[in-house]
Amino acid sequence: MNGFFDLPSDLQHSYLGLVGLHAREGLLPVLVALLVALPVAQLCVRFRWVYPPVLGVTTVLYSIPSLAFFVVLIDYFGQSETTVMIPLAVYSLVVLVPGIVDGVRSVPQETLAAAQAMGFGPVRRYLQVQLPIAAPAIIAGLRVAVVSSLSLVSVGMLIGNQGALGNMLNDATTYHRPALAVNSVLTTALLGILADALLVLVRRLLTPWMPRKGATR
Amino acid sequence: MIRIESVTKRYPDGTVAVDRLSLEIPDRAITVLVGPSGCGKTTTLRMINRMVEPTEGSILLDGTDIRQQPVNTLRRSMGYVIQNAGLFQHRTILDNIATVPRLLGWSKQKSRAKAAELMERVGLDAALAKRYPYQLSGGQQQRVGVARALAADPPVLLMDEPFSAVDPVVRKGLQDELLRIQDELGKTIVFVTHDIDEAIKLGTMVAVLRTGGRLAQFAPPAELLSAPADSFVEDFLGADRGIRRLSFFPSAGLELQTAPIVAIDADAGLLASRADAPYLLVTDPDGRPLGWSEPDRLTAGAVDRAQLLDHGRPFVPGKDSLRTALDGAVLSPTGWAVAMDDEGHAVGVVSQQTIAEAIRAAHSRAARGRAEDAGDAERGQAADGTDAEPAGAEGGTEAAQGRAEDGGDAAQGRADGGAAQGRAEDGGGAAQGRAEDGAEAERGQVADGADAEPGGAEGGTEAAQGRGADGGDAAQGGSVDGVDLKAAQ
Repeated sequence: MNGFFDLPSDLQHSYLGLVGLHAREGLLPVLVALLVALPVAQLCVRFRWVYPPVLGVTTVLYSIPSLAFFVVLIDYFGQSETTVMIPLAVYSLVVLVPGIVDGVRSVPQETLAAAQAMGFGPVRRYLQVQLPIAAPAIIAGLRVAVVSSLSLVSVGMLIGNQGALGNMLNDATTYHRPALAVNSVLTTALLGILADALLVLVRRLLTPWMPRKGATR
Repeated sequence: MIRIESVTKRYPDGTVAVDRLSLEIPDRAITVLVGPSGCGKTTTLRMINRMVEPTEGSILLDGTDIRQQPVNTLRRSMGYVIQNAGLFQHRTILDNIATVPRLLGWSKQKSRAKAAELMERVGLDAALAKRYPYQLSGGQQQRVGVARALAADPPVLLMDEPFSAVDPVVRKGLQDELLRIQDELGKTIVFVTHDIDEAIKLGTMVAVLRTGGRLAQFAPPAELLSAPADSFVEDFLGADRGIRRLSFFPSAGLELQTAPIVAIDADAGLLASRADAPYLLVTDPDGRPLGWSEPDRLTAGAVDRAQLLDHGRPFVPGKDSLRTALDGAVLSPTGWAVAMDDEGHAVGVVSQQTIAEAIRAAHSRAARGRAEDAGDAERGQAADGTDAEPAGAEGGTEAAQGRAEDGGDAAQGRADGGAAQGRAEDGGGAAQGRAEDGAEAERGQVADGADAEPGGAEGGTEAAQGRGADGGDAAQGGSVDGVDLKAAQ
């Protein structure tokens, strides 16, 4: 009964169930962060003076340890998944906003001038020119955010077993089953690598226009 | 027609980019805005499609203020080409070109069909359609830029230094291509460049702007070269505008000599009959030029091709300009230029002296043309051109010009006179003709030219111009121009 993938019943999940939970707790915050980061970044691009304060605030938020975050958030959301996901979303935001801002700003001036001269309105220009050209930078940001978010989920173990795969670490000490810890670490890493690979694939599909390695202009 | 009416662009920090500029941009012609950095040429261009809004003044398109229509409608009716092309790197070449048609709501299919047609028109291989911009060379990208601007068939094309980021060979190709396309399509093109040669090559009309965004001169290129409005324009045109102006004179009327041409298989009798010429042009049996030789070095039936002197670059009479002909003569070791037909057969030779005479004739024709125009001007009178007589000189050229013109509402008379004095000095085989000009012209007065006589000099080229310009209320007279050209042979 003590196979590598057999989990103690107090985890209340099968192995695959935990993987699914972990993915959800790790990826959902990144998705939310992306949806917030896009307009925030656009504001920063549009009004240059907004960027430094935004960067300052997000950096300060990033420096708050997740545990401290949890302590505050438990008052409002209890020992729940939400409490775990909010800090993760904030951390992702910190990574994504500068990435998107830099990406959108990296669109060459003459490309923007050409778009304007051809009669693109601001919305169309953003959606059809700036965003697609910023895609590689956005995805680069997403890769960092996704991997760090997936690894941070485990900390949720400390607030009433909300750490998905991280909960196995606690059980490993409780039940003297080091294999559970190994399993937790390996699975988390594997999940991160898979998610990262998936994003690379998405980028490849979205940006056939990027010069490949070795290709010359 | 695009009318720019007293337009000023002042930025909040007080910088004036364009200062009370007025221009009438003719339809179906290329109007070039040229000037140094900071002269407001790009700002002016961008005001035409409202990427920059003027602080004062207005711009009319076919009589209607451009602010009357929605800005994006206006922009979609004007093609726009910029430096480095500004292509959408995330779209294929075909989709880049199809951009404006798509914006105008054409179907995808129709837009792409139009784009494919334009690729052909600008000389792009259809195989490039599915490529992305990074896979193209700079010159190809610029062609895509032009095709994209033409895609929706706009009547107006705005071009902002489109060819300045490519190498000179590619640039020349693109310029020729633009002229060819313009011949076919007849767009109203406004072209911005800082390169005066490009302006002269492409422009039907050239507007020279000076720093601070003021108009220095607005004229056809030939007039710009022959009569720069002031020293700024003259400096901007560069030192050899006299030579460059020759590009506008046809070589058609040149008197060609056929006697000094002999075929390589000519017999001894023929060679003997031509022996009095200083040089003979030897051709192959089909009449293609091979090279020059002194008559006494030629032996019938045994002409050594390796012994022949290079014949320089031949010109095609009627097709090439006097500049090309003169260039051929100057490059030729014998001082004679070779004329050939389109198939490359030598049709005659012409000496530097004959070319020089043709140049003088062309100059006086041009001066007469302008003087006739000036007959309409109230206070304008024609001035005499001056001839120089390079006695015993081979290729002495001298141009003096008179010109009167009518400018705008106020009749303006300008009398140009060239008073030229020639002094020839022999110094180590180099002959120099120098002319000094001190012509004083008052309003509506004829300035007489004097004769220049570079005596005994071989190859004294000399151009002198005197001009008295009268503008507005203030009468101005007396500018001194002295151009020294040293022609060493």
